[in-house]
Amino acid sequence: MLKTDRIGLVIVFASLSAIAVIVFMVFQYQRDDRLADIRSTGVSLARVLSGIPYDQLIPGGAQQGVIQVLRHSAGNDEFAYVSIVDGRGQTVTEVALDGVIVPPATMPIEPSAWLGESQLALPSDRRKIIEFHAPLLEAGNLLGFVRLGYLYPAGGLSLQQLPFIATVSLPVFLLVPLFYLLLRMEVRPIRAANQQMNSLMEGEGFRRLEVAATGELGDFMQRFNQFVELASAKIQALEHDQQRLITSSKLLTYRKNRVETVLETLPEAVMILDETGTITFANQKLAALFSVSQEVILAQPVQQWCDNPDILQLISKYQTGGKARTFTDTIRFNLDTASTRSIATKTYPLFSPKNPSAAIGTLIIFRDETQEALARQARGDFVAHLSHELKSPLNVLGMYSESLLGEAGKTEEFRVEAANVIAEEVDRLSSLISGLLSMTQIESGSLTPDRSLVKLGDVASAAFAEARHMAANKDYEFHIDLPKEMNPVHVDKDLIRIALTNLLSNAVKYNSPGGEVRLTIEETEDAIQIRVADSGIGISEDEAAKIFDKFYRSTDERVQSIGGHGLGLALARQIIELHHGTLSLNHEREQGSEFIINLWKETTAVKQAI
Amino acid sequence: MTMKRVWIVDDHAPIRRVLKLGIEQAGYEVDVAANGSECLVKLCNGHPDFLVTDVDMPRMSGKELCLAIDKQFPNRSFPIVVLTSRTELEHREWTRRIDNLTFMEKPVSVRRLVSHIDSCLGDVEQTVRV
Repeated sequence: MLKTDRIGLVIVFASLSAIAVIVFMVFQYQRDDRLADIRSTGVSLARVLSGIPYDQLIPGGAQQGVIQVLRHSAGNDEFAYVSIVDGRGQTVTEVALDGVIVPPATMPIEPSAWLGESQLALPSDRRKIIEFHAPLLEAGNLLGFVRLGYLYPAGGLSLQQLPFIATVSLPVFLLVPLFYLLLRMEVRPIRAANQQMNSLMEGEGFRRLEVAATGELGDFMQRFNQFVELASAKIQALEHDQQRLITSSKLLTYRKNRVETVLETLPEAVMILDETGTITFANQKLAALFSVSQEVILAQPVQQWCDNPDILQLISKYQTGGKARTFTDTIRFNLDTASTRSIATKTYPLFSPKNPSAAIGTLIIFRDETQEALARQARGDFVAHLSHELKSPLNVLGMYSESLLGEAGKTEEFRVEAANVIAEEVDRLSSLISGLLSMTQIESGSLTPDRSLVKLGDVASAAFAEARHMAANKDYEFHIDLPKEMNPVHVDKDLIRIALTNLLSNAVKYNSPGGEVRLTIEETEDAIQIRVADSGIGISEDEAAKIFDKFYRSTDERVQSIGGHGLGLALARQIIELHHGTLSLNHEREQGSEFIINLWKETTAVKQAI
Repeated sequence: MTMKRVWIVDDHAPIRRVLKLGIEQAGYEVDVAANGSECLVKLCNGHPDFLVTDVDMPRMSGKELCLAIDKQFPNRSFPIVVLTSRTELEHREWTRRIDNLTFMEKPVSVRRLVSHIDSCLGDVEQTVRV
C-alpha cells in the first residue's frame, strides 16, 4: 500500500516537474526569439539611422523628427532610448522612454568596432540594456554615433502564453491520474499476494494465493503457489520430525533423569566410565567423597582432582583405548594418607542391552567402609581389652590358687588373705561380665526394663553407700544431698542402681587424694535431676565427646593406671536412655567432672511421647 | 654365699605379696615396688639380680621403666621379665630395642616364673665360672 502510494506521488511529482521544464523551455525559447528580434530590429535601425547625415539628426536638423518618431514607433516593447552623440561621446540629442535615463557609454575608437552592440545597465534601476551603436559619417569623417538602447527581454508568464501553457499542462494533468490508476490496477495482484503472504507469515496456515492475474504475473503467481505448496509440505514434514524428536528427547531426558536419580539415591558414591575409560557420570556422593564438584570430575582429568595412587591406578586400568574390561574388580584402600577413611571399590562391566556381549563401559561403586573399619577396630580393641581385663583377675586367681597348693598354703594367715583376694577378684570378674551382659542385652533389645514405682532417694542412697564402702581406705569426702520428700518414679530400680553405681565408682576411682564425691538429686515439676560430681582428674575437651563410647578408655596415664573396662559410662547412658532420660557431662565444670542424669516424670514422658 | 636379689614391680598389692612369698620360698631375697617410678628411685641405691615388672601401672608403666633403665644403665647385667596380658604385637614392639628382656604372658604361674629366674641366674653363675 505504501509502496504504490509512493509510486503515485512520484508520478505526480514527475509530471509537475515535466510541466515546469516544458514551461521553462518555452520561456527560454520565447526570450531567445525576442532577443533575436531585438537584435535584428536594433541592428537594422542603427544602420538606417547611420545612413542619415549627422547634421540632420542633431537638433535643428531636417531629420531630427525621426528620432522623436522612433520613440513611438520603434515597433518594439523593449525600446528604451535613442541617442545621438558626437565623436567624443558627448550626447547631442536623445529620446528615451519615460523613467529611462540613458546610461553613459564610451564609444569605440577602432573603426571596426564602430558598428556593434554592447550590454549596459540603466543607472536608475540596474535593468539590463542591450545597446546597438552605429557611426555617423560625413565624407569619411566620424562625426558621431547613434545609440539605440533596448531593455533586455524579461522572462515570465504573459497572459498571451496562458492558453499555450494550459494546452500543454491539461493533457499532462489528465494523463497522470490515468497512469496512476493503470499502475494501481497492474500492482493490485501483487498487493493482494502481499497481503495473503502477510497472513501466511502471521501463522494462519498454508494455502494457495488466490490472485486474479494474467500474463507474466499470472505465471509468476502460479509458480509461486507451487513453490509455497512444496515448501509447506516440507515444513510440515520437518515439524512432524521435530515433534517426534522432541518426544524422543523428552523420553530420553526422563529416562536419563530416572537413572541419574537412582544413581544419586544410592547410598554409595558412583562413577561411570565409558568404553575408553572417560568418566561420564559421577554422583553427588562421589563429589563429596573427593571434596570436588561433579562438574570438575566430569570436565577435568582424574589427575587434576585426585592424588590417591590407588584410585589413579584403578581408573587407568579402564583407560584401555576403546575396549571396555569385562570383569569385576574389588580393591580396598585408604582415601588419605592419614588412613582415616577406608574405601572399598567394586567395579562392574556395563553391557549393551542390544548386544549383551559388548561391554560399553564400567560402573565403579565406592563404598565408604570407614564406619565398618572403625567398628572392626573397636571390636578388635574391645576383645583385646576384654582379654586383658579377664586375664588380670585370672592371673591373681591362678597365682593364689597355685600358692595355696604350695608351701605358702600351709599358713592360716595366707589362706585367709588368699580367700579375700580370690573373693575380690571374683567380684571384679563378675562385675565385668554383668556389665557386658547388660550392655549386650540392651543393644540387642532383649532387655526390657522392669519398671515399678521406685523411691529414687533409696536407690541413690544405696549406691552412694556402696561407693563410700569402696573408698573406705581413701580420704575422700562424701556428700549426698537429697530432697526431703520426693515423688516415686516409674523405673527399673536395678538398672538405675547399676547406672548410679557406675557413675559413683568412676567418681571414686578417678578422684584425687583428699577429693570430694558429691551426689545431688533435685526434683522439678517435669523431671528428676541426679548429679554425680568429683574433684578428680577431670575429662579433657578432646575426650568429652568419646567417653560415652563403648570400650573407650582415656589415654591419660592416670586413667590407664586405674582398673577399668571402658563400659561403665556407655552402660550408664544406655540404661538412662532406656528410661527415655538423658545422661551428659557438665562441660561448664572447671575442676573434676560432673555427670547429670535427667529422668522425666511419667506425665512428662507421656506428654513427650504424644 | 649371698642371696640373689629379685625385685618385683606391680601396682596390685596381692600380686606383689603372692610373688614375694613364692620367690622368697625359692631362696631369693625379694624387694617390691608399686610402680616404675618407685623402682627407678630404688635403682639409684643398688641393683637387683633379677627384675620382674608388670606393664600397666600408675605414675610410671613397666614399658617406661624398662626404657628408662635401658637408657640410664646401658651396662645393666640383671635380666628383666615383663608380665603382661597384652599379647598383641604392637604391645611388644618396644621390647625389641632392649636386650636381656623376656615376656611372660598372664596368667603367670609362680612356679614357672621361679624356674625362669632360676635358669637365668643359674646361667649367670655358670658364665661367671667359665
